Amino acid sequence: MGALSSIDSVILIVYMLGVLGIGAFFSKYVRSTGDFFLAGKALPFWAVGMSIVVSDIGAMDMVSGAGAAYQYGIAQSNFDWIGSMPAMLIAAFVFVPYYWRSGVYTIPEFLGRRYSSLLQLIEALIWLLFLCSMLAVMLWTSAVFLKAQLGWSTGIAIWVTVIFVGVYTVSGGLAAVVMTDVLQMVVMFVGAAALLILCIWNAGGWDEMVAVIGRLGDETQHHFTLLLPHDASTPYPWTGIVFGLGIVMSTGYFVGNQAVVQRVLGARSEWDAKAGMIFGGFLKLFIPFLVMVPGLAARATHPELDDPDSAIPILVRDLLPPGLTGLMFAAFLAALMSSVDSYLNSAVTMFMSDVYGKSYRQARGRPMPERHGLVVGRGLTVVFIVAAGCAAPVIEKAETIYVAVQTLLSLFQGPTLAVLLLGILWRRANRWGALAGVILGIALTGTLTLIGEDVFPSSDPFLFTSFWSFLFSVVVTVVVSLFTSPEPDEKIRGLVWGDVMDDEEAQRLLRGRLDG
Amino acid sequence: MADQSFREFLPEWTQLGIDRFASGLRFMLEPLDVFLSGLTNETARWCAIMLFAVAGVWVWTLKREYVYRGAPDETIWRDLRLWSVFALCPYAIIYLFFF
Repeated sequence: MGALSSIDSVILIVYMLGVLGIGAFFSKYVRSTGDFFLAGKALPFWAVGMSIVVSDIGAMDMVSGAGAAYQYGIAQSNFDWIGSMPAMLIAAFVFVPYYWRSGVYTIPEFLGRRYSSLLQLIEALIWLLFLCSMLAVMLWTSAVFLKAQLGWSTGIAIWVTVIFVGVYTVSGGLAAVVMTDVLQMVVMFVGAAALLILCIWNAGGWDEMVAVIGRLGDETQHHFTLLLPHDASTPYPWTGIVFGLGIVMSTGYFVGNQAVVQRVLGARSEWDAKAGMIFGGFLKLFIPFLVMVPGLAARATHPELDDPDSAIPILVRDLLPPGLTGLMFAAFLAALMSSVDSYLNSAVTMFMSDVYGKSYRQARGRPMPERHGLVVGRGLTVVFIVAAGCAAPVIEKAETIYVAVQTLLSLFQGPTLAVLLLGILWRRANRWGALAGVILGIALTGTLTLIGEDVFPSSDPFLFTSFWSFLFSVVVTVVVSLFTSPEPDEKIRGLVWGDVMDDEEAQRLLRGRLDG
Repeated sequence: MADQSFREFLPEWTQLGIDRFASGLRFMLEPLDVFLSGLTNETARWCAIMLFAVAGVWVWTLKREYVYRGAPDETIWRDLRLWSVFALCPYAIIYLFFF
């Protein structure tokens, strides 16, 4: 993207004022911790759905998604297609009503109540580490982007983003985050759609683009094949896509990701929570068109790029006229900020619920007062975003920290899904089974990550790793649970599927537990 | 390879153990790999479509009151089973079209 023209700057300023205005508007409704962390349970389904989608796709995903389409073709789209809708239906009809009725704020909180405080602490710390490091990485990415486009120093760019996102997140809480996400999604879709139309036109139409890519040689022969053979030397063979992604990874993401769960819990009714998830699943259909097609068009018009991730910036620079450049710039900022605000809000919620709130209850013997929770929640939001701003340049210099945290989280996803599923669906699962399932599951995932390319046919076989580690954790949890004593009935009452769905008394008990 | 460089830091006996584990696992998974590699793209396509089809059928096994719970009324357009089928159809069509 080149320097911004006057009309681009005006579009950008209008967009930023719009975001701040929405944040300011919703701040007047925040009077309690429930208002701050769960938007007062007032979100309509369309806001929940749009927010889930836009939080899921960041600016990095737009760039790297187009890059992967440039390199591997449309198989990349499976992540938003088969990797979304089936899992989102399972989430909508099994997990969402469960979370809604059991009254938990976070997944570690559920694991703590269902199994043990140790598991809650381990999961919460891992997630916090991940969310905070991602915040720092996103701030750094936005700084690099703003530096390239506006010539700002990275330091100024980081702190402008910190202040901008911090202001509306601190003042308006989840409601402001979700409602700004709605605006950001509209901007993102319009900007990306403009780029999509122009790049297909520039490539001579869809048919011509397919023909040109087909003539590029063996490397692009599978560019328009969604499901690649099992032994294909790419990270996306169909067996990994259907079983690893479609069944394990996507389910793990949509039922275990704090940013998703929190939006659902902020819905105004159980119906809105379920409908929001399904609506989000429908919107995910369009993401690959907006991200993948520009990558394919770049392959047709610029077949010799050294760095596939440069596809989008090159197309934007070459194709977009003034006005649309500003819109695309706003779309990138929208993608960045919607992810930053979601991670920020989720990290604070998790810290408040699983670390601070739990310690407060144990130390004082009573739950946190509303006023205290709100002040601490807002204070922590400032602390987290400022800390991420300070860490952003360090993260960039020590890329291995970021890679290590990402790897750590990926080690946890399969095993966490296994104990979560069994905890909800199987009354007999107990704390020892869950602990063994998580620890041994992580050990297997770590080992498979080391040896995966020697064992599985595809390159970078993370899809197979997640599938096998999930299965292994299920088996370990079941076996260890059967050989150790079951959890007492009174402990798990209201925390397993049948109770939460049908037993009114159990639900009253849960509400009592929450209040006291 | 980051994984390979990480392995260099492990003690020799650990590397040996990991190598043996890898060859054992390869031996166990080989028949499965041979079987899966022999399946056609058509089979892959139908496996993917089945995932959407099973989801679409499964939602109709849910009770009506469960689906509508929390809805302001029980008009047909609030039936989330219909929403699910409507949302699943374009996906299934895509997998039917591209394979």
